[in-house]
Amino acid sequence: MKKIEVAFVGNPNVGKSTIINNIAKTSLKVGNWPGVTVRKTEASLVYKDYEFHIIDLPGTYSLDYTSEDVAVTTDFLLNSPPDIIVNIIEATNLERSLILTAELIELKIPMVIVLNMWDEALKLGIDINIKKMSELIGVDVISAIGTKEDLKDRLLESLINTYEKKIVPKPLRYSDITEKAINDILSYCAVPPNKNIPPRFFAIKMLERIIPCDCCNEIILKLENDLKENIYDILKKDVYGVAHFISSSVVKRSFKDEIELTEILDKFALHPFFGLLIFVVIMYLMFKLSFDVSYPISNWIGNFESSFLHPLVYKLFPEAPYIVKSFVSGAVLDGVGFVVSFAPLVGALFFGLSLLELSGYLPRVPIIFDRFVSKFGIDGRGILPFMLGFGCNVPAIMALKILEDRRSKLIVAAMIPFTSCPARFVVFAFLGAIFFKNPAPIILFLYLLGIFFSILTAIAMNKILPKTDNLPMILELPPYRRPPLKIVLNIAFVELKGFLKRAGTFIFASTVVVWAFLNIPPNANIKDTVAGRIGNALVYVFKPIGIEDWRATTSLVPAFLAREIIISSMGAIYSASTKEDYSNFNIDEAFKEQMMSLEQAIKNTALSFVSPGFSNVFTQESNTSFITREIRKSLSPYGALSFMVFVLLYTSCIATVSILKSEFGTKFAVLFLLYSFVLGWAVAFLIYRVSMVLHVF
Amino acid sequence: MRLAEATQDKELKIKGYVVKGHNENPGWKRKLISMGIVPGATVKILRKDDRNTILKVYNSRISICNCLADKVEVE
Ligand SMILES: Nc1nc2c(ncn2[C@@H]2O[C@H](COP(=O)(O)OP(=O)(O)OP(=O)(O)O)[C@@H](O)[C@H]2O)c(=O)[nH]1
Ligand SMILES: [Mg+2]
Repeated sequence: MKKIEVAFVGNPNVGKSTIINNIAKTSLKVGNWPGVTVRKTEASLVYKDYEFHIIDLPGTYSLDYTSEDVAVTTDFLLNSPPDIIVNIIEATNLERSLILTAELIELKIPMVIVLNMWDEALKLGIDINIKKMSELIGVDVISAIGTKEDLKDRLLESLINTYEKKIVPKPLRYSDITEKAINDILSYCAVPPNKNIPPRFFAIKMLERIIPCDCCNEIILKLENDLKENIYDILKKDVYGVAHFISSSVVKRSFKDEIELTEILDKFALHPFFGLLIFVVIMYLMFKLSFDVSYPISNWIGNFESSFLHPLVYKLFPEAPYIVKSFVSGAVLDGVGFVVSFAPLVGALFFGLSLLELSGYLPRVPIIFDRFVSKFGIDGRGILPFMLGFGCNVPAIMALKILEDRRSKLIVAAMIPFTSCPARFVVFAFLGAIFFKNPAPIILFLYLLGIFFSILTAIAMNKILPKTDNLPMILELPPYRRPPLKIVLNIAFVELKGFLKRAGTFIFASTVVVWAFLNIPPNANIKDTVAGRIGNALVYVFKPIGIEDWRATTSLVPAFLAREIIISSMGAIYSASTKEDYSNFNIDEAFKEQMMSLEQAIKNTALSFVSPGFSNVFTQESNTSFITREIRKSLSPYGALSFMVFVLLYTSCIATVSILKSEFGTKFAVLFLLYSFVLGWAVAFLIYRVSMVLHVF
Repeated sequence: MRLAEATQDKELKIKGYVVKGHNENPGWKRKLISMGIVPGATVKILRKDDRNTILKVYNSRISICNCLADKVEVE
């Protein structure tokens, strides 16, 4: 079998990852905004006698080193050139896309051009002569709609043909005067040797002053003098000339200069006042969708596990050794089971987030907030990774690559860990429902508190870090697009699968350790077990903030790995510390009861779609198993609030800490962890005391 | 073909970059150029205030915030 390595290269947001997902059946991250892919990502597939190794690269406008993600693409192409480059071009924006193509042509690597977004081009009345374009450039040109099934065969056949015949683009010719300068550099200056890339490419980069070259100075100065222009402008004009020439030769456009829908929508979405209003409404809908709608089902699953499956174990296997029963009910059902019960919530949250990303609304948010965030030393672009933090802090920190300077990166990196990710969300939902009649306002308060402290942290960072020049923010705004339902569902499904997998592996393993600590030494009084001792020691630390029960403090220990573990270990700990009598448990009756409450849960879900508020589901009785009763007894509502505040602010997530470490160094990560611990404790203390004095509950 | 000739017939053009912009910060100008905002490109202004300008360059909407007004002039 022959192996072909194919790299997908193109401007940002042209559909590279979408096409790879389509042909290789992968689930690479896609979104309707520039800068989704920030790392080189790989996929493979077998077709006929060929094994394709496909590489997705961050989108780029040129082969420079202007920002980190551009450098990823440039470095890759120069250092390990693929067998074929697939240059994805936005058919609606041919002329501008061809600027990059012109640079790629100089690499002399076999190439296939894909004109993606063909559907949008048709709508705009843009007609491209594909045959002529293919003749001009000398390679295959394919029209495409990124998500359509038929693309796979056409693209792969063309790749095989290009590979077998080694079809490279025709050489480019710039204006005579530039060509002479390039040839002069080739004859008189030492071009870096590279067996894969033709010397001419490096000569052009030396002429552009991107590769330093003392020997070129004279040639450059002469050219600048002759044309009375800066060398960069001269070369770019040549490249633009090429792009314009190709595009004007192949594009036939029945140009309707109509105002597009996007422009109308943007009149509101980017308006200083309406924009903010729209933002608030959208956030409300997101919150409503991910929380209110999915909550009844989540709650039901949790209840089913603790009030039905748990007693069932004891009822069906009365003779089984206690240790086995306690493992199954404590670690598996009440532990991991509780975490799993939040799957509908997580699925709904990602469904909402991917709607935001795929519609193209997300990149508008930076513009609305640019003025505001500039007060603390970042530009609006910082909002993008920050918003992604509500999905998961880890990819959000990776997305900092779209910022250009290290100072802004550090500021936003310090903001992200305070955004409420789904892990926090499930802890809030879990405890909120146990302690408060209507937890929605409490959860909203916690979200806002997180945002408040990210801003405060940013202000502090802005004061501490040495000042640098403010760069202008340049951002491309994609047209609004209808999010393809299939892709949105797929993203939600993939995230959900990831969540369940985590629950089944990592969180399960941690819960088993907690459970084991609860049983060492065996048959001891629970307070004398290892877990009991640790928890009791920690009570000293957490007593001032209202967490006085050793079971609650113990659950915080394994939570430094991930916050969801709080729930699973609480399940395990409280279930181990309480002995319930199940002799009266009637399987048939209990099952009937469960089915009735499922019916009610489904009704509530349906109801919450039509009711504007959050309250209707929360006035329903929440999980009433003995474990939740025990949890309710062990903390006061004030203590529970303070517990949630601490969980919100303290970075108890090993994945976040390690990504901070790998991106910004150990010192930053450790300092930040300490800072978040102290901040979390102090704020929890304050809120605990103040809320008690004010008698808010 | 030089670009200046190629774009003669189009309505709006970026006139040029005010010195402050590119002398102080060549990286910034480079970025604009690589995104298609070159002297001579076809441009439509969609929105402009003291801080924020959104241009339509070719078919893309490009937003430039933070002190654009004195840097790119459109004729
Ligand atoms: N209408 C239309 N939309 C498309 C097509 N192909 C992709 N899209 C949409 O274009 C957007 C960008 O897709 P991505 O695959 O994330 O783009 P990318 O090139 O990988 O972007 P970066 O990783 O940011 O460089 C998504 O919203 C896709 O749904 C197409 O053929 N037609
Ligand atoms: Mg991508």
